[in-house]
Amino acid sequence: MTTTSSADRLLLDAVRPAYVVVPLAGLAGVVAATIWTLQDTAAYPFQGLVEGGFVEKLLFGAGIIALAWGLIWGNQMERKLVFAWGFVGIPLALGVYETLLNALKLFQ
Amino acid sequence: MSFLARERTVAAPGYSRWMIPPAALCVHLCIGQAYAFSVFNLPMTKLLGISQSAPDDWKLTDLGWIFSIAIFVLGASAALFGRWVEEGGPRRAMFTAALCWASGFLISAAGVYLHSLWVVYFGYGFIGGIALGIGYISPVSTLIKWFPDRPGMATGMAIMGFGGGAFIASPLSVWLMAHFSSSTHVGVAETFIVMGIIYFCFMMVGATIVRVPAPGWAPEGYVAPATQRKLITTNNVFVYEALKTPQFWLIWWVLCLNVTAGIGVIGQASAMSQEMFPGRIAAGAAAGFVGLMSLFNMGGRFFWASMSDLLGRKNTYFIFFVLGTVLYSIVPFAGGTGNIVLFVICFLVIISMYGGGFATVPAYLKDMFGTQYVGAIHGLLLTAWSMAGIFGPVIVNYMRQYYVDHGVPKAQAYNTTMYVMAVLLVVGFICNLLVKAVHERHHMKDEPANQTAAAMGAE
Repeated sequence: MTTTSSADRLLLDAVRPAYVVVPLAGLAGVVAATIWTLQDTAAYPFQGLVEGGFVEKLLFGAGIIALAWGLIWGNQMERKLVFAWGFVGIPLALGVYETLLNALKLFQ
Repeated sequence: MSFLARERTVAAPGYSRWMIPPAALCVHLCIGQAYAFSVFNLPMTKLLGISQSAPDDWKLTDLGWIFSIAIFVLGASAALFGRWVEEGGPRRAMFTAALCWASGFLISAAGVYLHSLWVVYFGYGFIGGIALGIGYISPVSTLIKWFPDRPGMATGMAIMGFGGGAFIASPLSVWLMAHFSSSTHVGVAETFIVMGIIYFCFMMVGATIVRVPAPGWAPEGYVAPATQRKLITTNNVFVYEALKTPQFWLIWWVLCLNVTAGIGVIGQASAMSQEMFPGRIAAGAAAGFVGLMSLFNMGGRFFWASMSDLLGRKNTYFIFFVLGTVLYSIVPFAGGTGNIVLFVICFLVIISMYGGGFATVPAYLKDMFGTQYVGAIHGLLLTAWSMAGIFGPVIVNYMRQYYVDHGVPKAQAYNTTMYVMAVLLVVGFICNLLVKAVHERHHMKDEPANQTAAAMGAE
């Protein structure tokens, strides 16, 4: 335990937090929108998204923009952080989502 | 291979320490598959009979040994290879873990193909167990060195990955088996091969991006506390010297008792919930309860380890033991009054503290023995896990059976077990209470630059 630690300083090591957090949030939005609209019987890829509602499209579009913004304007280390956290975060989030969904279904 | 050498992993200026948790997660999310190995058990009892078990098919009781061997070897290899992991650096350890983990799956696939259970025991149990031990401790000291201001949070993130690995492995295994199964075979061998390859690639990403901090590195703006806390040392204790300290063995019992209390109910959660609430909790809801427990097990690892940075390690364990004792004592009351919500809440909090116990202990060791050999000392401490893996289920299963055999209704058969768990936690509380700062006679004498040079020279 130290006297100088703070959540703010934790995020300020060699990177600008916004250039990591915003694209990661965007990536999460893209993945969430894709899962949300995923259909087992889709006739073509992303059919659910293409034919889906406004909220799903907004989430996907805003996510792409946020991700692209971070990847284009971020520095090399910030891009590496987005890839590294996305790499481990997406499968983990999908697994947790799947488990939570199953748990809720079973309780019902 | 120079790529694996510790000196090749020293971070260049500008490297962000936030790359280290995902590197650690790459390893822990993969080896955390061990918690989901049970999804293979039923299919592996039908390798010959396909639709149902044939007389020559493997029995569930025999298959249970695969996981038991793996967990036993985890503790043994973590203790045996701890110093090698510490001195060789995280990349060499992660690479070795990846190689063993993938080999374990491939050998097991051969075992399934040849229908030789001993080959599976050797593959997943022994070789995979070595990967579990080395992989589990490989990022610990690196994370602590990168996050001197938040060691609990940093190691909590990695160890959370071990709890979360099952969430990925379970649906992936089921999907792969469904994909490879046909009318002539169940698809287990092919699933093992694909998972071995996927896990090797995933773990190698972690091995590639991991870095150790340059000597003398400190986080930007970080100032070590001016007043030294009594239970946080700035000295180091050599790995085998730690075994001579009462603190090591007290923390060993703290971990062992905390894990014993949790691991026993994890294995029995489904049956226990159905038997304590007959007719009200069906098998489906019980499975949902187990899923929720897994989520709290994972979340508790990050939450409690992070909290320990604020509360202190000893205080965090005090919370585990006091709150755990109270909650275990409440469970029989919840069962007796038919209060399902109270029962579920009690176990979710208990299981979060079970995970929290695993995740907080590396930082506790760092506070006691310093950062130099914390990974290796952590490896030695994991033998407590192996021991708890035997104690916990034995206590729960045998006590329940004893009371059922003596005519106690199943709904009440767990009551005494809950009180026994509460007593175990009281003993853990006392062990934690006795933990004091390590005596200076155990400290390493050549501090600290010489030690690093000595450690590097020992490679």
